[in-house]
Amino acid sequence: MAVATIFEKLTRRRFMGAVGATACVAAGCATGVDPVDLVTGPTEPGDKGTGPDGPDTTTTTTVTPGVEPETPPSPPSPPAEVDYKNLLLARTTFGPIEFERALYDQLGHEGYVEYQLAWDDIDDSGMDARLASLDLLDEPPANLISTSTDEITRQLQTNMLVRAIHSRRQLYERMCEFWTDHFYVHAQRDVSNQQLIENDRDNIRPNALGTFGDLLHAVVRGPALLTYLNNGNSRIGVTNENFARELLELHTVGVDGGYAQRDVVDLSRVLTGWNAVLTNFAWHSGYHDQGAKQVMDVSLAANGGINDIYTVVDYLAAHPNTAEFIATKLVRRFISEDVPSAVVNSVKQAFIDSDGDIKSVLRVLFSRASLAHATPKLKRPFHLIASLMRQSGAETDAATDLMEPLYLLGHAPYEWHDPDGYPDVSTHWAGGMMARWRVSQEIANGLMSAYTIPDTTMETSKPNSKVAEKIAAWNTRYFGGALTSSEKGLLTSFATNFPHQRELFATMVNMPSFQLH
Amino acid sequence: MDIEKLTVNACSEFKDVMRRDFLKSLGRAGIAGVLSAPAWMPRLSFAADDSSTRDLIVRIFLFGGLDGLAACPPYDEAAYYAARPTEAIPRPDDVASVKAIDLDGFFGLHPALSPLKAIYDAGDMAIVHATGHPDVNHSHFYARDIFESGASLMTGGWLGRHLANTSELGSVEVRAISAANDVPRCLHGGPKTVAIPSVDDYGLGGDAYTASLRSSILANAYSGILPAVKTGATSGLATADVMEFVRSLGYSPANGAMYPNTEVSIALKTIANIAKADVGVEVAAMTANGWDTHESQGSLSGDLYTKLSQLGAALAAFYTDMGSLMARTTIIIHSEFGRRVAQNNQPSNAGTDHGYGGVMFVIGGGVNGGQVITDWPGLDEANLVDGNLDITIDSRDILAEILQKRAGNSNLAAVFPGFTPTFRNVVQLAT
Repeated sequence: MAVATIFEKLTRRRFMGAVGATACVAAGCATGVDPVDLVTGPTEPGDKGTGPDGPDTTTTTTVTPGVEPETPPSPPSPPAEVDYKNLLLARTTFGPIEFERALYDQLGHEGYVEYQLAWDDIDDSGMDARLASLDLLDEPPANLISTSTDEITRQLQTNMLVRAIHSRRQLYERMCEFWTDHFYVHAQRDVSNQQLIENDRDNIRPNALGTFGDLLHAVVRGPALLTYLNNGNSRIGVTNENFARELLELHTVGVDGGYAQRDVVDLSRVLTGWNAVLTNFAWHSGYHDQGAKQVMDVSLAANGGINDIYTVVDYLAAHPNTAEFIATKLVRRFISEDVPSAVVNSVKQAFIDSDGDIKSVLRVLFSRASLAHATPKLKRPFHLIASLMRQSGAETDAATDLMEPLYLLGHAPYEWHDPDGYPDVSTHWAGGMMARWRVSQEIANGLMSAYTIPDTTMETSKPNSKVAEKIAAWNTRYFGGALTSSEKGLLTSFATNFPHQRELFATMVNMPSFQLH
Repeated sequence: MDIEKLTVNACSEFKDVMRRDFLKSLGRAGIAGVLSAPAWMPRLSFAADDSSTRDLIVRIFLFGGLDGLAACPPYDEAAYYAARPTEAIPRPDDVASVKAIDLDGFFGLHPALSPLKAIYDAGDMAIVHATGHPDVNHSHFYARDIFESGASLMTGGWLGRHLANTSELGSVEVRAISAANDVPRCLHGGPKTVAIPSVDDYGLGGDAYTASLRSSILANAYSGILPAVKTGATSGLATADVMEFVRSLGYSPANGAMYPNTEVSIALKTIANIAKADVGVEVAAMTANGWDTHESQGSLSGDLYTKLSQLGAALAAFYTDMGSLMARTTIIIHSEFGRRVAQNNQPSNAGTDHGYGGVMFVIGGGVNGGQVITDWPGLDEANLVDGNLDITIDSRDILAEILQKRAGNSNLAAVFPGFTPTFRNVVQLAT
């Protein structure tokens, strides 16, 4: 096709688009490329009425726990309705599939959240066969001392990705990812590497939907984190401050959480003797600084021994600034990078009221009242790749090397260099749009051998289905019907010009509605 | 194809699409070998006849807290050796084989940085000591954000604001690059800024025949979304064409430069590759991780020695490769803070905790090199701040001077609001 012809088509469409947008603005309606549209999309019939549990507007209003936001007195234009179904499913999965959509229809909004929160009631036995080749994951750390740290890293990474793609415990997996970032340990290929499997299996996963206090105690006692943060040998007189500082700044109260350097110093004294020997946690009472200490509001008398640590960890787990810090991170991850204070406050209050019960916190986080504040968020690359595989129905297991795209996109699990975990803001990831598009293109074209998009996905049900039918089918499958009209138009124009199924597929997953969620 | 005819009445965004396809059509026609820069693509930074006086600014951030007292040891201070039984760098006249390289009779250079000594001697490298951002605390992340934002945690970064406040020279597609798969904070808020981990792989891939339509579709699809993503998408598409042009020029390191196979070296090689194509990039940023040496610091033979060796070798390769272009290049190497004067822990695996004042390296043809620029506070206990080297030169003094004298910035107040820099004569005014 002559380039000029394409240009003429584009020009015409742009012109039409511009006219449409102008007309729409004048009429006060949402345009096809309005950012809100990416989240809400067309509302499904069953979702028209949001019912007594949800607000019927996206307008930002104050949310107080137990009190539903009010509709503004005289809205300037009819507000777009929030598509709670697509929104909830997008934010609680690594890309929803028909299984989750049907569950939502069956159980309703709250029922679906409860279903996902009861993670150990969900039959996930299908994972066993897929993960069978990951033979190191059941081993105690002592058995891993002579194992290749690269292989340990690969198995952990693969475990995380295959579970994200195939597990039915989707919210649980998203929370495991969240806590893995929060209590981040870099796979440094040293002794802490051998402790990573135990950290994931015995510390994070059992507590990911438990209480924050139990999780904090488990992880802080885990040799992986304390070794990574240089507490493995910290002892009286030669104290290392690193773990103490990050325990305050990254894991509990946050950098503005109300502590000073003297608190860091005294907390590092509290943590003396809290060590690791090879792959094991070790308490060395002889190395513990038995002097009196003061950490924020906690006065510790001399000779407190190991109880000093338990006291401070309990104090930090229950601190309101910890509740606020965790609530802020959860809201940024799952609701909006604008971290609306109304949502943060209600989530924080749920944390405080429930003594850090993570399920109680998530019930508020994923309520309609919170989701009404959701704004579009660029999927992080791990999420992007998992959703690509998950929603396309790609069959994959742990036997192949799945990490290539994640290394290319700078988001291979456990490879971030710093103890704050991978960034969670779109600004960080948006610089890599071209790489994301290219990876989708290569996967669609079968250039990454571990990733095979089935032909059935490409062809939909009918081999030569018409373009409109194909795009409609994809819209249902990948977007829950929320593909924007602008995107539909663009895909149609591509398919009309070039009937190349795999390139059309790549173009589809490179649309904003797939790259963001 | 008559481009002028086709672009009548088209918007500027549309013209960009035309340009892209113009380049691609040339490539497809099999004349890539003689492809030269189209008239619209300015060759700014290094053009001899250009009135612009902007250098290429290369910013290297050593995240984790570089131990400035190891990188540039004050070997004539007795307090230095008292505080560091095993982590001090021996005097240049020590009998040890691993020892400091003398710079000025008081400061030395870490031996692993020996490749930089010739650059220092040539007058192209200055070291600023006892420097940093006075507002940092001991948190890496807070300190980095302060450093990178250049102000008290303002939105955006100091180099982003620099670019946003200096006019674009001609119709440039890419003004700033990050040689990684993400854009560091210092560049946030800047126009036409993009992450380029690799010149070779930068582009949409797929069928060349459909590339232009796919590119146009993406430009359209991302035109009305979340601003940060729209910016990334728009820059990415424009950059793909520029990288196609860069690739068409071919590249191999010049002057016998040997880039080692290390992360820092590969990133610098990418920057050199793009810089030499002269497509108007004004700022390149990269981050090197792993400087947080709490434990097993290994100043003389361990981790830190290795890190410094890699850094020194990479910089030397870049300097050699760039050759005469270094006359219009300024490299800034800094870190969020220095490290505690006294080493910690038992002798077998000693390290140093987070400190305050540190060291900055500035390399380039316009640098008043061959000197250590400092208002040295000393290492005696009474002169330390909580056991740390003091900051006597605000790092923004150096950054501001470079931006004004080498990067054509006449609005420093917009880059560092509320801060009045004191120039330290670290660079000459570009002419």
